Amino acid sequence: MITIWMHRRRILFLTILFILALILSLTTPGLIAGNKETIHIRGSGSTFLQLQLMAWMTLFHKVHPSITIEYNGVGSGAGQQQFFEHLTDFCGSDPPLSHKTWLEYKGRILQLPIVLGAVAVIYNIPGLGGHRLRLDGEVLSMIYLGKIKYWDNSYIKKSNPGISNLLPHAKIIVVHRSDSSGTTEIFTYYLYRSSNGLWPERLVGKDIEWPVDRTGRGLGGKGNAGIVSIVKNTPYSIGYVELSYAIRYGLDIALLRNRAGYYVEPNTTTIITAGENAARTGLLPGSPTGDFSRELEAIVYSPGKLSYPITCFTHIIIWAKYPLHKAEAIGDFLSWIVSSGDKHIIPGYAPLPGPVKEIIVRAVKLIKAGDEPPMKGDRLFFLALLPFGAIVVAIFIVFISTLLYNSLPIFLHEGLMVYTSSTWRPVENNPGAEAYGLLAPMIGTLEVSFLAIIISFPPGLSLAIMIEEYLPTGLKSVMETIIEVMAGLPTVLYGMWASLFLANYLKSDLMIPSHKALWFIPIFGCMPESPYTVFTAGIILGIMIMPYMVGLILDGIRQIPGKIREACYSLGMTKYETIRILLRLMRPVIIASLLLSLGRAAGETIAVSLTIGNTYNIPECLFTPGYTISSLIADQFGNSGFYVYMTSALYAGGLFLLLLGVITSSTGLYLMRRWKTSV
Amino acid sequence: MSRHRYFKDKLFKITVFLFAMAGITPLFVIMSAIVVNGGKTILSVGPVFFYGLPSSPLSSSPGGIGPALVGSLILMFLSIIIGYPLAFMTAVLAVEFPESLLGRFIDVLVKSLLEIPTILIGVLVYSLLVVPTGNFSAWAGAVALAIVVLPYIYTHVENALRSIPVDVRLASYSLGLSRAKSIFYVFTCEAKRGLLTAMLIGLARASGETAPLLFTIGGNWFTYFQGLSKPIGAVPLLIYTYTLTPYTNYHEAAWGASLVLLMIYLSLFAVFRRLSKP
Repeated sequence: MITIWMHRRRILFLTILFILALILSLTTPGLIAGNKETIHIRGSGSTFLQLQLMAWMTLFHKVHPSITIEYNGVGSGAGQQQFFEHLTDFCGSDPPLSHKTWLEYKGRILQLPIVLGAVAVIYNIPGLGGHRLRLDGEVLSMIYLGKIKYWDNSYIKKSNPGISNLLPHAKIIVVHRSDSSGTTEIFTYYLYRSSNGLWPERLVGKDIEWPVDRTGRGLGGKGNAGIVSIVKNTPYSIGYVELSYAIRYGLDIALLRNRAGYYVEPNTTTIITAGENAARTGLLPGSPTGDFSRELEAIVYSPGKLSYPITCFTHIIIWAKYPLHKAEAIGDFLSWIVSSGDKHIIPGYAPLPGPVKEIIVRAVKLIKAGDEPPMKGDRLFFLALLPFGAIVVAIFIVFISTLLYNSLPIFLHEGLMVYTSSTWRPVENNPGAEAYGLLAPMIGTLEVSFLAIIISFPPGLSLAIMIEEYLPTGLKSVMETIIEVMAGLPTVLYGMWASLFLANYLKSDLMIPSHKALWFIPIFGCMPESPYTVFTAGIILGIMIMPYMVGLILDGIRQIPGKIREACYSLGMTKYETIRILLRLMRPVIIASLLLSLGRAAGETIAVSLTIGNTYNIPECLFTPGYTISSLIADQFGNSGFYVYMTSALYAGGLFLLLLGVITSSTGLYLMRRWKTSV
Repeated sequence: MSRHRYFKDKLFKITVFLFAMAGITPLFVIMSAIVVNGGKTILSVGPVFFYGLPSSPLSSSPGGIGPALVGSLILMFLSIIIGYPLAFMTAVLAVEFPESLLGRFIDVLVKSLLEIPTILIGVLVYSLLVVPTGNFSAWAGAVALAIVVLPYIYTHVENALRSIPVDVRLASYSLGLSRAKSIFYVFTCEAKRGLLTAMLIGLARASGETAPLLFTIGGNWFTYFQGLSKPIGAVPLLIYTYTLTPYTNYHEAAWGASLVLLMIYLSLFAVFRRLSKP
């Protein structure tokens, strides 16, 4: 006692360390298993981005199976609206936020260009024989204003010297969007910038009144697809669409004169060059928190010999703050786009040039994990819930410290001998002579638990296979109900039945015959004296643990994608052959299930205590009575008060049980989770 | 298909079915043994079995289980009174505030309670509540039971709260209700079925647990409920104690008590099943 007093500080320190370590280790199984559910991210907006995001999502999902991203192409305008109403987590928008909207949400949102696109001018002129039409802003303006009437107009001839004689004297059919569209805005903005004042500023917008309509040669088409079909089916027509549509439908694409005076076609190089030169104008903000509303000024009709003039960015708009998991998931996705997404751009679009990509990298760093927009009274409510959380934390801390504190005396008395010796010597009134070793019940615990999982495995696996692979739906739920009833049946009922009913039959019909037949094997080497033996306890524990094991294996089978089964059957495999393949796939799950069941079995008390015979004995043979740690506690704890160290020794036994449980369950859950993510 | 493969396939199917049947047979054997033996006891004793006191081991009558039965019902009720609010509030904390550190930690912590052997919970409550107060009590047993059933109730409440559709959440928030009001007025109605099944699963668990009671309630067989801070009896503990004795009339009483316990458990389970699978 004096030594304890002298070292009490050190002991206190060690105890606290122990407590922390134990709490940590006890919660690892949960940490491994929990918080790894699928994270769903929802977005909506620009229709173009839908195709690109789908292309990215399928690839991204392979790397991050726990994140799914959903996206609806509802149009940029509707996308922004849904995003600001918190219906979605992000929005895809072709135009950036207007200056006014940006001011309203400044600091709370991040805007990032995600990919480059272009508007192509398409035409349908029979007889050009593969020659490409060349156009510039002035000519296009005059066409869309209705001032140029025929294809063989001298302005057009002037920019197409090589094919001037091929241009037909046919009326130009001018096609434009009939619906409100970002494409129209970019196209009209290009006309305004490149036509030396021919195209007035008032005719720039998503939906304008087209002067050419008054001449009777104008036609409206709904959506990119509408324009494509009109131009395709109308000879001598001209129109403008997103480049990807022009490529997909194989339409003739005009070369456009850029600011430097060169005629260029829209392709990856000319689009990226336009983006690069836009970044150099200084009109683009360098950070996702900045105002992008002047972005068109920078990128449309941008300088540079190789720049395609009608180029634009498509954007993703996100919040600056998300709940933790979402913040991480969105960050992962954006980082992936920067690192790998670039290589998978669908035709018609181009990856971002380096300096613009920096904006995304910066955005990833800026996304914060935090509360959702706070609601009234939330903080107070959270505070009101705190005591309940504190109670659970307190239960844990108090439990573990009591366990450690109470087992401390036996460690001071005999050190680790308590786990390595098998003497059990309670002596009254002479504490020095007391000696307690837990080796025998520890071996008993392991023996009984192993026996239990060996017994329960064949029926457990068979039940899982039968339920999932053989039974029709109706019978399936009946069988599952039976398993559930078994799992929840009070353990004392199993124990009582085994003790008063099963044990005698086991002795006369199973234990004695198997001893007589297999006496030369050590574990069968003794004649059973009593019906209450390690063997009996193992059998009843096996029966009890079986439903738990079935649940775990079923959980595993259900994770296997149906396509594997279909593949097997389509190869003409029989059910047996298919199940063999499934079982091979499931090997880690089965090992995990056995481990978790072992942990459960080791902690069971009542049924074991009623059947094991409660004798301190290293059970070298299965047909002798014994103890498990838990039955030892149940049996001895009541009397332990007569002795100085026995209570403490029993607490040390509890510590062993707890550690065994932590090890089996954390390994089991770890295997289970690793397997689930790999399937 | 070759005959060989066909034969193998059939053989496998038969093996699986045989093992599966062997797996569930014990349940039916146990239940019928309890019904037959327990029924015999109850019929021979009559209704006195439910409210009478135990008899002497020297007599031939099994006696009654009255005090234990009443004790069990009180313990079940008490453990739910303690365990349910705790489980509900911690589940709300974990589901509604998943971004807070405590919210995430509590989820892991509560589920880890499953890993502590129930006998250990009994022993710990003994040294924390029984020893300091100086006597076994209904309180101590109820606290131990509440801790044992906490993770089960918690999991069911958590599932119920998580299954509330986003539309309902948004609708509730957009009415201007605070989070607390949304939970107590809207979500609890929306998830009432799940919240009720959580309670039933807690009751079913509490009805059958024995190990946590071993060193906490003392076990009163001859006296009815005397107060929350006094010892109390319980049916599962009675079955355990009687089974360990060598007396035939006590064994008979254990069978009878088992039938009572089985009926309590099965009726709770039936209601639970009915509610969880509409």
